[in-house]
Amino acid sequence: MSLAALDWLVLIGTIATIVLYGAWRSRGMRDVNSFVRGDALKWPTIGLSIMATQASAITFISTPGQGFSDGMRFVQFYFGLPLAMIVISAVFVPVYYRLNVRTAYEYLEHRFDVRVRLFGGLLFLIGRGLGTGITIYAPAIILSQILGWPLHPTIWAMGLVVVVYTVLGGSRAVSITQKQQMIVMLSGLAVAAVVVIVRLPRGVSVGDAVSVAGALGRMNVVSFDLDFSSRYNFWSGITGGFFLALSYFGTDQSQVQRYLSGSSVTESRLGLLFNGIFKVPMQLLILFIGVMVFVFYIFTRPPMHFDQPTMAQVAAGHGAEVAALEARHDRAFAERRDAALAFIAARGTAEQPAARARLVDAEHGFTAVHDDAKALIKRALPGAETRDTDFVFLSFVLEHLPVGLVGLLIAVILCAAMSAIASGLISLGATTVVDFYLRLRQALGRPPASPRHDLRASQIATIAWAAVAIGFASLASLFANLIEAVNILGSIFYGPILGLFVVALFIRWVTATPALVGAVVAQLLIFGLLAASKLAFLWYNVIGCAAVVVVSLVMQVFWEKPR
Amino acid sequence: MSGGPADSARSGIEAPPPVMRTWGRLYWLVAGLLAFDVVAMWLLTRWAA
Repeated sequence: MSLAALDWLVLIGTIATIVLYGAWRSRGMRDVNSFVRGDALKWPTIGLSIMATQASAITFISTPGQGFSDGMRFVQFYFGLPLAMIVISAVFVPVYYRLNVRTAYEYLEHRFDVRVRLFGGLLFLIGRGLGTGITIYAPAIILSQILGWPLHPTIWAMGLVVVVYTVLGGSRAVSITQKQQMIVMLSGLAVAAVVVIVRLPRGVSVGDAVSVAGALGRMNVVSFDLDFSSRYNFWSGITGGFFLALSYFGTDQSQVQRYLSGSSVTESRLGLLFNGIFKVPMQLLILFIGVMVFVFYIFTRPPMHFDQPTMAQVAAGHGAEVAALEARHDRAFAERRDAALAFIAARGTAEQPAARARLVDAEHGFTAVHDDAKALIKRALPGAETRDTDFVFLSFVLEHLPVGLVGLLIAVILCAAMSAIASGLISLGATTVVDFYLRLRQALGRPPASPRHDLRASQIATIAWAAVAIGFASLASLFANLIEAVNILGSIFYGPILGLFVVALFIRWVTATPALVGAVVAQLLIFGLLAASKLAFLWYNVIGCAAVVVVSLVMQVFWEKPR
Repeated sequence: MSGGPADSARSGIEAPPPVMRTWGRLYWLVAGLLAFDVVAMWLLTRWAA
């Protein structure tokens, strides 16, 4: 599917305006501090920048798909985030400001010693370096499949545009462009929400749509059931989500750098709390759009499988089977649509339970055809991905939004990708230079270089990491299940890093060597669990953190005298 | 390391927020809004079920 000329105009105009404005507003960098910190930003920019850093393109591609297929319960994953924002605002931010650090790992040297700082920085560089590659690859593969864009040029174009304004404008350019990008993203979301509701059939109100979604299990927003086998409920969200958010926002340089760009502690804190207030409603809106798309496709015939390029490949070799499935799909769609209309008509009457049962049966019949289509894909193309939820929202945008708005929504996805890539690259460059290059010069007794030399070093390090990330993204298609693999990698490193910061901030009598040993042991433990257990990877965050705390406390008691 | 805005910000570490007078109150507001969100979403879940 190709974009109309007006869509191209909106897409290129939006991206170019944001990039040029960001580069213009951030001109005049003098030294490494202005490159890394950005300096003197106000809380609205910081808050939007924090949100934009976390919101990658996958947020806008996959999350509506998650609402479509699994309902709204994923929002509970974010319940711990506002509490983490409070803890970071109250505890982490004053410490970072008091010590005047430029990176989170610089604090580890203030508190422990240089070995702990380098270890923390190294774990970050590995995890974020791989993660940034995937941040480039994941949207590129989906955009290339749906829009027919060539994969590698898409990867290179995204990476190059970001690296130009990041290197030229530093952290300030990243924050300023993220503010504009976030405004585009929120506008795009609002437009998508309005369009999907307007596109519901005449006579079907929002209340009716929500009721149909509820009957089919898509309005499962909050569950207080203490069920450990359930991936998302209130309890896992408020505890696991809290630890994950504390680790990500408190110790990951890609986020720490965003709020250390503030003009004061107050601005940084307000930016974090802004994120704490608006993150949950934003995720709720994105999931709700996915649920409304689900209801929309109850009344408008959806494709049998949303990954239509893959389905076309299957049809080329299994035409008769695909045609038979399409006929079943048509019947199942008509049955479900009629059952939904009957359910809406029966709302509030004695017939409602029977109409609901008929609707649920029809949904089962519809899902059975979809499952058979996935089974056929697996049989026909053994290596292909059979899940199609990542394609749902983009398919809806391309097929049902008016010309012009399609370009805006593609711009939303590219803005999200660019904002996350920019934060990743500049944090990798900052950590490489501040925690490794400049620290190594100091350790070797070299005199301080000129501000221009340090600035150049930061820019070169950022370009080098961009080359690594783009190279990794270009090779990514060689690996199966890469996105999941890198998510696991992120969780492998977050736990030990968080553990180091927890010990540093809250257990003041633990010294450097026990903390370092605790972190190394925790990291090895996580590697062991990865190799020998089937534990869900989200638990690595909690176990890694707890292991650092326990091992460092034991080490301190037995090998070193408490201070 | 010295210089930069963080130096001037040091004295502002204990500065009160522009609204709600104290940081503690602002934190309670954020936590309260989370509680409100959760209750509203729970009611939505019950209504739609």
